[in-house]
Amino acid sequence: MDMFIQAIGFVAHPMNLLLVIGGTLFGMICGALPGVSSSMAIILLLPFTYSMEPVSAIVTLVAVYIGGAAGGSISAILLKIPGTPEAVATVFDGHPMAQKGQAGKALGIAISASSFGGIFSAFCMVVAAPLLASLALRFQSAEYLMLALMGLSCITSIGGKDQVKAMLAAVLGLLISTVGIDPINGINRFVFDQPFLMNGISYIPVMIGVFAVAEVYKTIAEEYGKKKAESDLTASGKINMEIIKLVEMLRMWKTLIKSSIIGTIIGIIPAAGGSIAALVSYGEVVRSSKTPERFGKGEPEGIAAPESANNAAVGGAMVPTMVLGIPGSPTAAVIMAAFMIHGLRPGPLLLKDQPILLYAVFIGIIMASLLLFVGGRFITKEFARVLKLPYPLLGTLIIALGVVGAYALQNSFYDVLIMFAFSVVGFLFNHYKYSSSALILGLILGGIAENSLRKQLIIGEGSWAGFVTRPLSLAILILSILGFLYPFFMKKKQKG
Amino acid sequence: MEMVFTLGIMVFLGIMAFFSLGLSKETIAGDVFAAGGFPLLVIVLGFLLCIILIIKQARAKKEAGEKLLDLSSPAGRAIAFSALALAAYIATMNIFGFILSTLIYSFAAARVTGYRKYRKLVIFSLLTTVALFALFGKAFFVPLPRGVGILKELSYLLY
Repeated sequence: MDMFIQAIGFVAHPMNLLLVIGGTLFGMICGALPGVSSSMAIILLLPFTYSMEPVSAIVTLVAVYIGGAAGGSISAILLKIPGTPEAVATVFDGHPMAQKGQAGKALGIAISASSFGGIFSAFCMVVAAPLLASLALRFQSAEYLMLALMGLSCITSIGGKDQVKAMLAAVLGLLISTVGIDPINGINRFVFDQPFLMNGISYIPVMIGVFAVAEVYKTIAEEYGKKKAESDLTASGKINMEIIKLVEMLRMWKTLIKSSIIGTIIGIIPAAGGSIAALVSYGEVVRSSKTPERFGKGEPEGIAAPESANNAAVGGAMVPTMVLGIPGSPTAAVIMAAFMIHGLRPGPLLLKDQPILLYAVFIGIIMASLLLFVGGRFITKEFARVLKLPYPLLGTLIIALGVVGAYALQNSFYDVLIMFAFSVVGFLFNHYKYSSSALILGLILGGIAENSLRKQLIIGEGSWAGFVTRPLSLAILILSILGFLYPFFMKKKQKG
Repeated sequence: MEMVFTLGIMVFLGIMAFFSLGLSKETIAGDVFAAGGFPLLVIVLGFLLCIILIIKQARAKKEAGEKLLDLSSPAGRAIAFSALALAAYIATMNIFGFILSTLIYSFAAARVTGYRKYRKLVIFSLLTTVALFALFGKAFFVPLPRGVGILKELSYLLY
């Protein structure tokens, strides 16, 4: 308890308070900009922390992480460009809701859910960090594969009317995910002597192409020639992030708690991260919904689930980083590097050597999560100004931002070419009513699915039994199958 | 027309299947899929789904449907020009550098998509270019393309 009070006193120091506020805002701004991920934001801020006390530096960087995870939803909802990989699933329902003239509400739900997820995971972290960390290590390849399948199971729900097309889109995504060096035995696959393909096809340029640029083409066709062609988003008036009433949030309590638990657990699992957490929790909320057909068309729970999960993954990812010295996500790996720069050695001895650190990070996460509301309102206002532009100007700006975003990701011009190629794919998908979301799901989850499948088979010397004899793996598999088949049953029931 | 698109997907899957078959077989004990197994599994699944789609499309009543890209309409032309403007922007960025190509692109793309107020368009192009350059090039240290020749030399004065 003494440590906890000391930590409160430490973080409440005006200077540290300012650092947390600045960190959260910086993270949100970076998160809202396509191509600038949370990891990049932390790397950019890292040199400024050299002269700080180690605990202040870590708390600031964690605040950036929290801000970044939430900020990605702003551009995902308003521009259909996920600012960060964590905001991938937010696009599915966030942008359709904004197109219905409820952008403010969508943003309010996203920020409230992010805040809830962050606070939830902070509590989990402080209460059961060592226990959770040891549990995370029980997650093996079989469970990873089932997690990927669970994420993929929602394709039949988000695929709209034609589930065969949705499945085909997901299959194409899975196939594209195999491009590059095979991670098991190092063989080049579908590289065609092009070095840039050796690292595989990154999903951010693909997403910018199929979502943002293809959407611009579609809107150009719809808006062309209209006297005052303004965006759908501003047609209903001003965009202000709405503060969602507690009663309204309570209506989604099941989704929020379930997604936060999923987010925390996936965050803890080494190398999984917020984007997987968001997709799996989205899949789960669709599976358990009585109205799965509403998802993908602007369902509030379709925003709350991924947003609470991706922010819960932040606290989750900090658990193995601090307790075991194993980063829970790529961004946590950067924070782990910051630990070492500041002379802290992540691992079992860290909490003994720096007992105040765990509580300080806990309070930092809670403060940053609450500050999201302030940052959200401020950044949304600035974005809303841009959205008032006539569509030919807004569309041009979205594409230019998409080009720089795709380029900035790895400073690679090839990513811009990939973005362009997939903008054509997205245009064709829109025209023939294929699900771009299913393509992205396949692309993101393909790598983890294939690697885990093959690793488990290698562990089991070619035997498939491991997938069903491990209780956790079997449980997730059953949930995935139910989630996949549920929309078919519902369709039959409705017809009957 | 939709069937042509499905057939196109099948051709793509066929090409990928051809290259998958050429990948080496099992190299590690227990790795029954090896490098080409998972892609092949996915391709087979894709083929099955394509066949289902083609049967559905063949059975469906023939409807005229919307054209994929109607170049005779102004909106269709706007999409085509917009895509061409983007292609030209990407193609010339490494020649003209980020600043000049973004300036030209933002003017041309907005113009071809129907914006006609030239004074505002010039201001928009300038502001867009400056904002993107300041944000990504200066604040986030992204090494934006510099172009070639004199443009490259000039870019060093700015970033």
